[in-house]
Parts: sequence; structure tokens; C-alpha cells
Amino acid sequence: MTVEKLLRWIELLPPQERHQPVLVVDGRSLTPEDMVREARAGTDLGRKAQALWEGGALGTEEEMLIERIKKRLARYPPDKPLFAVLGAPNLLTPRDILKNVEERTELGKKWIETERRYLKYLDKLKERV
Amino acid sequence: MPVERVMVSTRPNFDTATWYASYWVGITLRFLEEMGMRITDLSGDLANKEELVKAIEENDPIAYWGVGHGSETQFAGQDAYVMLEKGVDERLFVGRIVHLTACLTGAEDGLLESIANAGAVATIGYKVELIVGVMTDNFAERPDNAATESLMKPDCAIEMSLAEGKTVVEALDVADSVAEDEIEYWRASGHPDADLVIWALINNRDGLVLYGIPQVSVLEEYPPLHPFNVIVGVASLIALGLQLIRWEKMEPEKVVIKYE
Repeated sequence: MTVEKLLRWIELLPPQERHQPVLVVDGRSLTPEDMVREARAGTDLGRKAQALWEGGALGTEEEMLIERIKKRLARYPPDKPLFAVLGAPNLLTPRDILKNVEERTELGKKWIETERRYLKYLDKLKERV
Repeated sequence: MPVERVMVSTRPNFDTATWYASYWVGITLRFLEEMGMRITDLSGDLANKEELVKAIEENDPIAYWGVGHGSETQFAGQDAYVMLEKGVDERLFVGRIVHLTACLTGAEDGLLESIANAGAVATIGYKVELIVGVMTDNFAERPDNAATESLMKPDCAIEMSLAEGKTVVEALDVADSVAEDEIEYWRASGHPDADLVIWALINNRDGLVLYGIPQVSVLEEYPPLHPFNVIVGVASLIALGLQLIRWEKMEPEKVVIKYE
């Protein structure tokens, strides 16, 4: 993989995703921008990240998925409704979602699974570069 | 026998989520009417169990499309009053195609699976929390905001496809494809909440489920039985029966294996 290929992938991502962790290397969460920085510096971390990125290893660790959900929700006021849903309650706040995710309720597990699928979608964008 | 091209719809509108969903379903119903569907549209206060039962008994529709709050075992109408309950209301939908735009009714062993098991030809719904609105400051708190339009499009596409004559499984493929288009739109949009909308679209897309027979459509034809066809059918069955009796009585041919 070249850094250029990685950069082309990053350009395809929604802007918010450039600062979101996408994989874990040696216990450290890396964002796409971290990956570019490490790759350019030619570090061991960068080489490992490249190998994982090419192998399609995004989003396999549950802790990282939860970290991603938390980071995304942190952009919004915790008690202001974020989603309107056709269930009960009909408005979900970031705090509601986070509570379910952290407690791994049935609902929380579904949100985590959605995050896994979302990351898979981002991973698939690699095929376009 | 349920009548093809006839639909009953219920769409409460008493809170943000039902208001948003009801708006888009209402627009879609007008398109469906232009496409030749005959629709009984029970909206607002009419979205209750009594009116639903009455409309189904009077119209015998092939299709029911309900919007409302849902759980694994219940589906609600106006003011969150329960309209359908697992173990209680299944018989209402025998021979029909049921589509619930609601949270969780498509969960395994839930309401929609139970309705299909009781004799509905197909049931469509969601096994996840169905997101119909993204409530950030970047979207107006009105049902025609861009996020809600995107989130409702795949679900409405199901009914549009069915009205075009597609089978249920084909209609679900169309919904999937519409969701993909919306995801692609938001990915390239540069919108500050694009990730949130994509996330919601993926949640809804992957939560869509189908129970029952995938190859049915709302244009299913049930040809009437003509007396001549009945006579020919009965005569054929008698002839076949007589032939089977004759075969039964025949001695089986002996097979002789010769060893050189």
C-alpha cells in the first residue's frame, strides 16, 4: 500500500470519519489521519497499520466500536434528542444511546452491531481507490 | 379472498416520529393511488384498532401498510394505543401482505413472524429501532427535512415497487438499492452530520426483514373457477385414480440376471 492510496481512501470518507478510530494496532486506536502520519514517518506502527488496513481488519474490536460511538455522540448535547424512532421512547438522546451501549442491553448490542456494519461500509470504500 | 390492488393503511401522527413517518407515507399513498391502488387511508385519530378491523372487513385488502410505534410483540396506533398484539390479532391478516413501518416488530419470534405463521402470505418489517429522524441543529424539526426524506425513502420504495407489480422480495431489493443511493449521497455531501445519517440508513437497511412467501405481489391474480374447468378437473382426477388402481393390480415384471 502507498500513502497515496490511503489518502485517496480518506478522501472518500465522510469528513467526520477522518478523526474517528478505525483500527487497533498494539493496543492503540488509530484514526485514518494517524495512519497517514505513521505511514509517512515509516514507523513500525505505520507498517503494521498498513498491513491491517489492506487485510480489511477494520472494526473487529468491540471496545473500538464503542469508542467510535462515544466519540460521535460527544459532538452533540447529551440530553437533547438525537434520533426520532418508531419505538418507545420516540426520541433518543445521546445519553440514552450511550447508556444502552455501555450496559450492553439488547438495544445497545444492536447499536454496536450497526457500528460494526458502518465500519464495514467504510472499509469497502477501499475497493474504489 | 383478499382483493388485489386494494390496501388499508394506518398512520398515526401524535408525536415527532409518527408525524415524520406519517408525512412521507401520506405522500407515497397518493402516488400509489395514481398507480391504480385502491386505498383506505386511516390517518391521525382514525389510526386505531376499531377502524382498522372495520376497513379490513369491508375492503378485504391484499395489502396492509401500518406506520406506528412497535415493539417485539405489539404495534400501536394513534396516541400509542395498542392496535396489534402477538397471539391476539394474527387471523386478521390471513392471505394478506403486511408491512409495518415500526421498530422491532420484525424481531425473531415477534409479531410479524407470528402473523406470517398464522397465514399472512408475507410480512415485512424491522428487527431494529427504526430511525426516521435526525434531530441535530442542522435539520429543521419538520418532516420534510433532508435526513427524514432519506430515511423514509427506502421504506416507501417497498410499496411503490409492489404497486408496480414487483414481488415482495424484489421490492425489498429495490429498498436496499434506494438505501445504497442515499448512503452514497450523504457520503459525498460533506454535510456536518453525514456520518450520523449514513449510520441511521445502515441501521434501517440491515434491520429490514421478510417472513412468509418472497414471491407474492399485490397484483396476485386469483382466477375464478369456471364450471367447465371444475368438470374437466374432476374428470382428470377420476381418470388418474383409475389408472393408479390398474397399475396397482399389474404383476411386476420379473428381472432375471444372467450369470455367464
